[in-house]
Amino acid sequence: MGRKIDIAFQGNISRLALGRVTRDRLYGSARRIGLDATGRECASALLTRDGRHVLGPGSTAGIYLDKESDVVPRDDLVRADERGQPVDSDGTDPDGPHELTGPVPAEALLDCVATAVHEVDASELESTLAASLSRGDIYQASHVGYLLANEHGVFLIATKPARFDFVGRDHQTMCKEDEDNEYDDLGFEPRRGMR
Amino acid sequence: MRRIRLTDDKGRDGLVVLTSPPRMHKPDPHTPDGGAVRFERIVKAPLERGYVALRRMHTDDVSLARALIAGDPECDMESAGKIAGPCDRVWVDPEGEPLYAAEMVEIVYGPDGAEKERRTPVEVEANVGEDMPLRWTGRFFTRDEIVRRFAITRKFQITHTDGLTYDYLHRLAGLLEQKGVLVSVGAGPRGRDPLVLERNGTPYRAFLEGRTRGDAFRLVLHLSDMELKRPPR
Repeated sequence: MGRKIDIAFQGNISRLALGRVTRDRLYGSARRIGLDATGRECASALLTRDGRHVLGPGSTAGIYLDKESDVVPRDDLVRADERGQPVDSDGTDPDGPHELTGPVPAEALLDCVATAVHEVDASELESTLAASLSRGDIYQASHVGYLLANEHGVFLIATKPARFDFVGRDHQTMCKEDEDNEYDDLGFEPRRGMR
Repeated sequence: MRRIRLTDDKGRDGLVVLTSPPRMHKPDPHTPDGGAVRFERIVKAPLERGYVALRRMHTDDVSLARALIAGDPECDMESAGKIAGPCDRVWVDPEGEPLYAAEMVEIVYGPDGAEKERRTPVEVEANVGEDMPLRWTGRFFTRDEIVRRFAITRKFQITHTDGLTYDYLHRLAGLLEQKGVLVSVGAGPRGRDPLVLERNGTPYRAFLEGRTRGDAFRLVLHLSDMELKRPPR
């Protein structure tokens, strides 16, 4: 259990310890490495196009430049919406307790995709909430995701919305193969752990 | 967007389209006065100035420390701060020399992170496409079962390509809505295999959800690459 968050439920605030659940921790993982002719393990690096430099891990840094090519410190960057207007928040977790609302139907969670799964230390749950979760209720935690329980324990599922519209007979589908590398945009990334 | 073949409860198949969810706009970074910024990757120090390379030249700590103080060998004034630009990924040996050919080995780790085996990599081909139908397994799950058992990490909408597939998909959506369930769909000749959408990609379990609203329908393919479980201690 690493990260802790505060949850507000019916006026009571509980501090929950979260432990990240990943596919690697559940099922294991695989990664590919290269060996040289003598069987020694090799590292992956970047070769600049002019062939002058080999850049290993930690050899590069990412920076933001303005139109005069001056560096803009990250702390000075502001977020702007589609019209270029500054926005106060980029939608990340605010400080303070996350209000639980619900119970919500399973459909609410099905209209999202999970971005992270955390196991929750159930011993720290407020008793009313623990009882409700054990009955099968699902709660939405503001700015975080959904809290639910199953036979394996209590989980907090961080989500982002992924809702689709209904389509009718006249729905037009434009299949343009390989345009703008849209295939990658679908998230068909190589198997995790591959290098 | 991608064309796939999908079979229904009667074993008939149709060519349909897989579409990703609409993207949520992420606010772009700007300068404090609203000016545009661009992201660049710059060189800090090339590999030949790194610790391993310097260690080869100075085998003992004292001589390395003296060299660092005297001449800043870790800094390359020619390259430091330059924009790296497009780069190619290469393998380098422990001396930092790029390899012309590398023998690939796959290392398999258990859930505890311990290495289990080393083996010759096995290429896993994609099993979803126009010639490889997704099959209706007939195994149904309620929405509650799905959200409690699986983490849904990807989802796609299935839409029609013509009037015939519109009727086909609308009927499927109505059937699932009427039953109030999701159906498991799988790949392979008998529909038992998880979906592999790209060569060597993550295998996913897939569940089809359908709803209708008059003449309109919504068929969503929910993909899960992990169950809701506690990792083994």
